[in-house]
Amino acid sequence: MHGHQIKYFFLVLVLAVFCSRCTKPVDFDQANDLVIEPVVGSSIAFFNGKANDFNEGAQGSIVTDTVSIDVFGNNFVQDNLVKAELIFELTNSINRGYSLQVDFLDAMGLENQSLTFTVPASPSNVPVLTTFTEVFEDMALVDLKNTEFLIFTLTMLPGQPITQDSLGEINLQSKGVFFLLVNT
Amino acid sequence: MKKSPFLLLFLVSICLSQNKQLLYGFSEIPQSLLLNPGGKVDNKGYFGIPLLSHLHINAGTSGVTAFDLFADDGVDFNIKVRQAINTIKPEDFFTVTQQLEVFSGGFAFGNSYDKNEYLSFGLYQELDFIAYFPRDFAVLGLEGNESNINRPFRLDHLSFSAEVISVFHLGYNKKVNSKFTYGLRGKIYSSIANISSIKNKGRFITVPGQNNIYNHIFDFDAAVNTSGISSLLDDENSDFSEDIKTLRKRVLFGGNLGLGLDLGFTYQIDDQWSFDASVLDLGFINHTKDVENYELKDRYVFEGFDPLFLPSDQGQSAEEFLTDIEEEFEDLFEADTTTSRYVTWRPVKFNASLNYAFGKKRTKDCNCIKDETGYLNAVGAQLYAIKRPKSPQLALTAYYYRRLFKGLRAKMTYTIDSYSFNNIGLGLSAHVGGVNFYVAADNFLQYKNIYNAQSVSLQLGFNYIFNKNED
Repeated sequence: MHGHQIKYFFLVLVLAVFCSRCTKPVDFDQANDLVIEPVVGSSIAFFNGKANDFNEGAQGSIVTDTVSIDVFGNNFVQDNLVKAELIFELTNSINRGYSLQVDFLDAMGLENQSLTFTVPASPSNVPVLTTFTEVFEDMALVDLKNTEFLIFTLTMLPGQPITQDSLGEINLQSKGVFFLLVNT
Repeated sequence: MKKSPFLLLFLVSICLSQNKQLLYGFSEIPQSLLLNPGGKVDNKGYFGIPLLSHLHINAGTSGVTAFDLFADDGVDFNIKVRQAINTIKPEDFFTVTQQLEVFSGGFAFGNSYDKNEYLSFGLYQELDFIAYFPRDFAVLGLEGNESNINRPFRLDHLSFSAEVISVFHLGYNKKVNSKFTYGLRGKIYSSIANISSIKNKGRFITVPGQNNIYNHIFDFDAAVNTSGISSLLDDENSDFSEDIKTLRKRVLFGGNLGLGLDLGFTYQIDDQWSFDASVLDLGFINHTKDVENYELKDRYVFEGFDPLFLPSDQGQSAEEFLTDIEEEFEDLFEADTTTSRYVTWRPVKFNASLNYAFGKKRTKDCNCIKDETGYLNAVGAQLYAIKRPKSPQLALTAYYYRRLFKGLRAKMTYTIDSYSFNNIGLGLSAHVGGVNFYVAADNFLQYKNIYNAQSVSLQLGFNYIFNKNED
């Protein structure tokens, strides 16, 4: 008696299990909708100039150099970079004003962007921080993507003479924040 | 009437953990000896129907299920992906295991009046895949580093291995006395193809810098080992039939070889209580042939470049300095290819169970078999553990076993494991004359929606068994 009940319990269970199998609606095409939007931050240029690096009396003085950049030519960046911000932080504790000019040149050496930032002199040698943010969207972004060379030009503006004993520093720190949109 | 339960089994269509909790201890099924070489043997010989004697399929995920992501519920897929990534832990994994027995057999030997020794042998093919969820890689890809300053992205989140092997085995089982049975099984592994990357270290982190806003620290120590793959991919003439020939050779000891051992015993505590345990796949494979490894081992800190005031002792222009940086980056991400041998360890498995049999068969149903164990039911608890790259996976099972009709045995299990707390499984073994058919599947509660199942497992097979009481 008892044994029979167990037998039939098992049979009913097995039938119930196999008859109840089904699935709920799924849509695997949703994978095509995946959009990822990583934001990449990267250090760019920096420098640390002492007052006596500019030991040239009362006249303005210029330091300049050209560097080649091939990051933007990368296909992934070309296709997926939708916005960029370049952030420049200039800290000056020299008793002279400075201007930093960054020129963006394309492969032909033609200038397509030029940014200029100015920091005031610091008569008491207290560090003065000035932050500049440049946003690249639309046409400016296209120009940025075509950039292959950067020219950095730091100009000491006229003022009190600089001697071997002059105090202070002019520092640059900078980063790029790159907004990507990857449509899989 | 007699046939109806047998037919019922064929209603089982394909449904899908390397844990074979249903098969373990199911001594009427000869393949249970592969789970405990020291298990009880109650036949005097058997052979598996070639290629049909044992098929095992298992797939599992301890994290999200397909339904979590792909349910047609109107929720934005991107939101679901982000929710999933926030939910899944780096210890979560996906596994697939498959086994196919090519042939197998066994026979009892010893004194003619008491054949208490048993030899079993066979060849099976196994596929074993495990991948942990590389969460930090997913977060970096999804969010980038800008919102994750000071957060390390760890390379050890990348951990996976996949292997296809064939295994030839020979097992010996001895019933020492009415209380104690032990057994061991030697294995020769032939690896057909292997890819593994399980010892990655290092990280990428962005931290506030000294000279510049950020310091980007790249500290990589990662490797992917492969064997048996490059020759198939590099095949210039791309002759598929050649590849098939190569693979066939590897199945028959032509691959990278390894050795393994299984050990097990059964102890009959008293008439009704018994305890058994086994350790399986204590072994390794030595990969020497057709090896291709990719290694990424480098440390580099990037803080930007100084276009104007380079220290004079470096004596280089900003342009040269930048070229150096580019080269550093190229080196950083360029993997070295080597062909040096490597060893993989088989995933060691441990099984143990405590069993209690009860409910004697009534005398009026006596079929006059003298020494058949009279108990119709058994309950017990089983423990299963498998060593995996990051940590062992455990499963605890409670079961109820029942002899139903004359030739039908059933086992029902309830299992708690990494995948779920509600895994109910059912195994049936039918015996008609010498023919044995068995099928076992678990996670029945989740079959209501297969896409939401965290793991599914199936074993089935046909044998021909020479029963002790036939002659």
